[in-house]
Formats: sequence, structure tokens, C-alpha cells
Amino acid sequence: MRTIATRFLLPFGVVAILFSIFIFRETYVTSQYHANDRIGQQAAMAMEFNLAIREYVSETMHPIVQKIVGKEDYIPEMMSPMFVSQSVFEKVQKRFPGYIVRFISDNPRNPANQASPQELRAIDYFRRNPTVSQKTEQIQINGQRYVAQFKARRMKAECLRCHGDPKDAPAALVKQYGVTGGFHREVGDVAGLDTVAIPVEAVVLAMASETSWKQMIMAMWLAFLFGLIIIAFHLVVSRRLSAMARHIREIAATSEISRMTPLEMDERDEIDVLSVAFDKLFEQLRTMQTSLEQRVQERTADLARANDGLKQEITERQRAEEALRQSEEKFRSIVESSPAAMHFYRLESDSRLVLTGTNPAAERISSGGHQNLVGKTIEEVFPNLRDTQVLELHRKVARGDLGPQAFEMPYKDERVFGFYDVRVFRTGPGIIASILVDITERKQAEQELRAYSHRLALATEAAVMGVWEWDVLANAVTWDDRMFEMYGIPSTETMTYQRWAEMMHAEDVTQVERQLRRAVTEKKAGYFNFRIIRGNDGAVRHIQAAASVIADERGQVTNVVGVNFDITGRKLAEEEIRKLNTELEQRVADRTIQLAAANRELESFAYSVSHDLTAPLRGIDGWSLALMEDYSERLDERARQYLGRIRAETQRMAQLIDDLLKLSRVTRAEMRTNPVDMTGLAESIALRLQEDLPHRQLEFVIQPGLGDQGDERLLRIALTNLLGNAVKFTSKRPAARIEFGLTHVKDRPAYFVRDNGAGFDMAFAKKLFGAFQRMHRASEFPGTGIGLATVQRIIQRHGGRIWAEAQVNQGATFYFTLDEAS
Amino acid sequence: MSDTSETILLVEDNPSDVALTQRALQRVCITSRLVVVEDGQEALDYLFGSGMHAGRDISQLPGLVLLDLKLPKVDGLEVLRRIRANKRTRRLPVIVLTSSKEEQDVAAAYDLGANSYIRKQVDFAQFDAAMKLVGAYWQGLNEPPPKVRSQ
Repeated sequence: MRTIATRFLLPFGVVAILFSIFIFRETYVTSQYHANDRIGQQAAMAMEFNLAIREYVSETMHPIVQKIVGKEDYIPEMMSPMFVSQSVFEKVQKRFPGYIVRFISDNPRNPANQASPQELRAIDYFRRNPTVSQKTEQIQINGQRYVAQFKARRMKAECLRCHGDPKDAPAALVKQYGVTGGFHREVGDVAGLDTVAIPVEAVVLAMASETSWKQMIMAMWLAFLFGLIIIAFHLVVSRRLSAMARHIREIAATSEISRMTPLEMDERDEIDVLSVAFDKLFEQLRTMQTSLEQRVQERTADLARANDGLKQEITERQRAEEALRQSEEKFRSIVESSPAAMHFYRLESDSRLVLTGTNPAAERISSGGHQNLVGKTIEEVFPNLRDTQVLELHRKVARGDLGPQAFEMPYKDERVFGFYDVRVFRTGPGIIASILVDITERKQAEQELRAYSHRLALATEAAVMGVWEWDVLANAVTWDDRMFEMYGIPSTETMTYQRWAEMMHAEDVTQVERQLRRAVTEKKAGYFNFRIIRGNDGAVRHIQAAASVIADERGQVTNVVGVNFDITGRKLAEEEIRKLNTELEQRVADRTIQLAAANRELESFAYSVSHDLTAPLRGIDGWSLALMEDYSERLDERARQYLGRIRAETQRMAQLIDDLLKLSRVTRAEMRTNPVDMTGLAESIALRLQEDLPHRQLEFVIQPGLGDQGDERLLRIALTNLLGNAVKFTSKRPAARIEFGLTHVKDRPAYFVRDNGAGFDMAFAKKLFGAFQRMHRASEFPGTGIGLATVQRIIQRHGGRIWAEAQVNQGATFYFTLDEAS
Repeated sequence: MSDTSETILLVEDNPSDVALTQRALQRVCITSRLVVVEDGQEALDYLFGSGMHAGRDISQLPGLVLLDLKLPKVDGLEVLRRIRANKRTRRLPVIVLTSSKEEQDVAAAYDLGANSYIRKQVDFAQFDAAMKLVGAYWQGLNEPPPKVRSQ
């Protein structure tokens, strides 16, 4: 069996070793970089020293020495920068062997300064790249590695004295070095290189000793760290897991629950064992949960079923309770609202009947109320029933000796008064209900009906009126004695509809049957007249009948009732009257014809009068005039006066005839009623009157807008008379004022004609409208006295009235109305 | 033969009226010949040459007819109707001269074609004046109708 420790620590150890190798290698490479870096720095430093020394020589020492030795002299040890720096670094090289510091050239003055092939390549490089002046590279010298730094030295103008044409150079210089080396340079040319080369090995060796210490210490730290981790892992994880795995294996070996095969336990580490065990456990748990859930569901279903049953039971119980409640409510409301008074009694052991309750109707039938009687005995409730059969009956019912009882009884005490229909019945052992229905009204109605029937019988007897009833469904006819008398048949005879119809006059049967049928169909009362042949003497009698139809609640006609009158006497009287009426009408017609003839005669008479009576008058007048004219010389003054009188009387006679004719015409004329402009009429008459009498000062005041219905021709005559009278009777006034208008007299409209003339004495007012009646002497005011009679006739023909009011010398007012009826 | 247009035919049954009319006409200097007939029938006979006037030259028509209405036999309105109904006499000037003032008479006279309607006043002075005016008007002022050509 493998353990988690073996499975985990083996790879971990490998990783740790690889990691250590990597770290050591990295440390080494880094130390190499550091070595190169330091060599580079040292080379740069050496270069700077080199340059500084040369700068100092060329700038400071050279001019000073030149002054001292003179212009042509040249001392290289003091004046050549190269020489000085070379010398300084030769001494340094003794302390640091291997270090190379020098100035080289491709054409050196000193042959020692001749450039190596590597250095020539560098010079070449700088010449090709004029902008670059410094370069570091690793080179091999005598099989040794060096880090070399090259710095290019380019020619400047001031240098050309010693490095240009040798002729310009100091003599000493030429003398010392010849004319070849170091001459013939140009400005910008790379004259040479400053080279610093430091051997790598020396530095590396120095550093390596330092690094090996560091690596040793690091290795020790790493070993310690790994050891710690392994110990911690063992303690925290491996040991516990081993313990758990061991326990599970032990359980697996003994328990069935895990169901792990021993085979499964082998070749597995602790985590596998745990996970398998966990899986098994989980599976078991799920199985258990599923079965649990199923059991819960089953249980829930059981509960729901139980619940439903319970609910149904509850609902049924509620329904039963509701039904009970409703039933109770129903009976209560029946009892409460019943118009019948209800009393409830209980039979006590001492055989007292005690009132236990009443309903509102019981309260109503008694003036004092019964509520306060609850608990009292029936004797106290109905004191006037004490010792009657009624109470005994109640007791017997309560005891159960008798079944339900019903009877009618009158009752009266200070509380209750009336006639009652009583029902007594047992509702339980010793408990009874007594129901009292007030039938007082019915009893009264019955009594009234009896009285009414009696009165009706008296009435029909007195009126000789027969009463009959026809039961339509049974076709049975009931007659009273009067009917039998009327029809002249014995009252013992059985009456039917057919028998009655047989007695009827054959000519009337069809019509009466039709009328009767219509009354039945339309359910309306019918009235018929017919004749019968009286049974005992065969006389034809006239009968007037009335029938009233009675229908049941479905509208089906059940009975027809009615009366019969013998109206033969009346019929005869009516016949007589009709005959008389006819005669009368004939007489009226005859009289009318006579009257029309008389009227025609009158007209003809009037015509004759107008023609024949005036002809002689004209003769009298004419011959009188002829006499006066033709015999004037033979007649004296008196005779001529007489003739004048004759002529005046003739004129007057003619005027009278004329006026009488007018009156007659007014009476005879046919009325033509149309709308009449009363104002216009009055105005036209006024105008003509003024034209006829131009010398008179007449003021007419006529109300505008008056109109009426009438015969314009007649009204013109009437108004002409009235206005003409007004003009005539104002003739003595200097200024006549005549008014026509409409006023109200006793709330009725009336026209009036008013003047300010002579007036008249009201004492004679009654005579005013009589023909030939005059109020004034002819010498004062001429006239025939027919004008106002004519006016009155016209107004009367319009259905109006005329009257006058006046005072002597105060003027007169004539009022008239038209058509008073409207 | 005198010109018949100068003739006035007076139809009047009352002799007193005839005399008075004659007198009045004379007094107002009417020169015309006055023919008097006393009833309607005679008037028609005169105009149509029949009866008692049979054989009269009926082409000679009077210049004016003064016609009373109330006449024996045939009354004035009937005479007027016949005059107007006849082609020959229909233009004859006819003046109704009567004592009737009945409106129906006046209306009937005009309806039948009377040329004028004059009432005989009882006052003879007025009658005189009326006659004077009639003569002046009908024989002086008025243009007589042209004769109707026979056939």
C-alpha cells in the first residue's frame, strides 16, 4: 500500500533539488555578470586616469616647461602627455600585473606604441564611424581573456604643429623622433587609440571565492526549509489522513453499511479510501432521503384525505344547521308576519293553561296588548270566556283528549272586540297553539250582503224588475218570480237558455244572441231590447234587458247575470211621442213655408209701398208746384203758403216711407258675417258726414285698430245712423266732438258713440229705440224716429245689445255690443 | 219724317207721372218728340213693331228710352233685358227712371245694361232739375251710339 506521504514527498524532493540547481546556476551567471561589470568599471576608471594625466601634462606642464626650456627645446619626460601617462601606468602595472594601459597608433613616433591587429581593427571601426569615440569589447591577448576599452583620439587644428608637416614641428621633436612617426596627420583623422585592457581571470577568481561562501549558506537554508515542510506535512495532513483511512478500513471490515470490498481498500491511498467511503455514504444518504420523501408524501396524502373527509363533514353539518336555521327563520317569520293572532299555551300540572307567547298580530287584535299577559292563565287573557265551553275545549286539546279544533266565536271585553275564526291544536305534550283570525269584516260584509239582498229584492219588486242568472258552464238559468210573471209562465217551470230563446220574438233572436255573445266575448256589460210573446196571453211585450258578465280568475266566463224590464208601456208612450213629434215637425215645416210666403208677400208689399205710395206723393207735390208756378198771379199769399205746407207734408210722408222701408230692409236682409274693419268703417262714414256738412265744425275721435265680425252693410247703416244722430244733435254746438271707440262695461267690451250735443232725459230712455219715438221736437231737430229702431234691429240681428246714457245738454253716449253670446 | 233720334220713348203707366214728366221736359226746353207707352208690352211692341204698333217702321229707333220698372204686363227689367238681347236695339240708351230705391233693383238694372238709373224724387223741384240734366246730358253732351246695321 502506498501512503500519501510517499506519493507527495517523492516528487516534492525532486522539485526541490532541481530548484536548488537552478538557483546555484543563476548565482554563478550573475557573479560572471558582476565580474564583467566590475572589470568594465575598472577599465573606464583607468581610462579616465589616463586621460586626466595627459590633460594635465598637455595643458599645464607642457606650456610651463616650454617657457623654461625655450621654444625649440623639447623634453618628453615632462612635455609629452603620452610619455608621462605611459610612465605612470608602467608603475601601476607593476602593482597590478596584467593590466594594460597604453596609447597606440597605426603610425606611432615610438615604435612601442605600434597597434596590434585587434587595435588596428578598432581604429578602422572609428574611422568608418566618425561620430563614435568609445568602444568596449573582449579580446584575447596571449590566450588570456581581456576586457578592453578603446577611445578614439581625433586630430585637432592646434595639434597639427607637432603632428602635421614635420617642417612646422619643433626642431627637438624632429631631432628626437625623426620626420616619419607621428607626422602628416590631418584635422579629424583618427590619430590613435587610448587602450585600457584588464584581464578577466584575476577579477573572476577574486569574486568566486566570495560567492562560494554565499552558496554554501543558501544550500544549508534550503535543506532546513525542506525538512521543515516535510515534518509539517506529516504532522498536519499525512498522519491524520492515515488515521481516518485506518478507521474506515476497520469499519469496512466489520460493517455492512459501507459495503466496501476489502479489495477496494487495497492499493489505494487514504484520500481514495475516504472518497470511496464518502461516495458510498452519499449514495446511502440519497437512498434514505428518497425513501423518506416518499414516506412524507404518503403521509401527506393520508392527511389530505382525512382533512377532506373532515371538511365535508363540517360542510354537511353547516348545511344542516343552515337549513335548520332557515326553517326556523321561516317559521318564525310566518308566525311574526301572520295576520292571524297566535297564542301559545302550556298546560301546567294543576291544569292551568298559561300563556307562553304571542305574535305581533295578537298584539294588534287587542287594544291593550297581550305581551304583558305572558305568564297569565287563559282565563286572565280572555276573562269573558271563563266557564265557557271554549276554555274546556282548549284544555282537552292540550291534554290530547281532542284533536285540532276549529270554530267561530264572537268575543268582547275591554281589550278585544270582534268576531273570530279560532283554531286550536297541539304542538307538543301539554303545549297548544290557538290561532285567532279576525273575521269581523267578513261577518259584517255577510250581514251587509244580506241587508243588501233584501233591499235589492224590495227594489226589483217595486221596479217590476226581473232578475236572472245564467250559469254558462252548466247551462242552467235561474229566474226570480218577477221573471216568470213577466214572461207569463208558471214559476214551477225549469228554465234554460233555449226555453228563453224560444219565447223571444222570432225577428229579434238573431240580434239579441249576437249582442249577448259579444258581451260574453268582450266580458262587458250588455244592454238589449227585444220583444217576447207572453206565455199566458200571447201578447207581444217589449223587454229591456241588461247583462253583466262574471269571469273567474283565469278569465273564463262562468256566469252572466242581469235584469229584465217590461217596457211595453214606455214603448207605446215613446211611439206616441214620436208620432206627435212628426206632426209637430210637419206643422213647423208648414208654418215655415207660410212664413216664407208671408215674408215674400211682405217684400212685395214693401216694394209696392216704395213704388206705389211714393208715386201719388210725387203727383201731389208736382201738381202743387205746377199750381204755384202756373197760377201764381191768381193765388194770394195764404194760398201759396198752404201749397207750401202741402209740399212739406208730402216730403215728410216720403221721408217716413223711405225710413220705414229701410227698417223693413234691415229686418229682411240676409246676414253675411265677415271680418269688419270697424275703425275704417267709422272713418269713412265720418268723412262723408263732414263732406255733406262742410259748414259744420266737426271733430271726430275714432279709436284706431278696431275690428270685429259682422255684416258690414248692416253695420254701416247702424254706424251711419249713430254718427249721423251725433252730428244732428250737436248742431247747436259751435264745436262738435264725436267719439267712437271700444270700452269695457261690466268687464265686457262695448263700442260707444259719444257726442257733446243736446243729450236727452234719461226718464225717456226706454222709448229711445221704439219706432216713431222721438225725444225732441221736430222744429228743434228734424227726424222720423225710425233711425234708432233700425240701429237696434241691426245690433239685435248681430246678437248684441244697445243702450244709451245721456243728460240733457250734456251730450249722449250710445253703447252697443256685437254677438254677446261669444 | 222727323229724325227718330230726336224721339224720347217714355215707358210710364202713371198718367200723373207722364204729365209731370212731359211738363218737366217742356220746361227744360227739350225739343224732342215724346212718345209715351203705358206698359212694358206696349214698349216692346213699339220697339219691335208688333202688336198695337205692328207695321211701324222699326228702323226708326228712339234716341233715348226713359223706362219705369214697375209696369203692368211686362215689367221694366224684362223690357230692358229684351232690348239688350236684340241685336238691333242693344245699343239703345236706356235710362231707368223709377221711384224704387231698392238696391236689388239698381243692381239688376245695371246688370242688364241700363245706361243710367235715376230716382224719381217726391220733391218735384228736384225731379225737374233731374230732367233738365238728363236732357242736357243725353241729347246735348252724349254722343249717340252708331246704328246697328241690319243684316
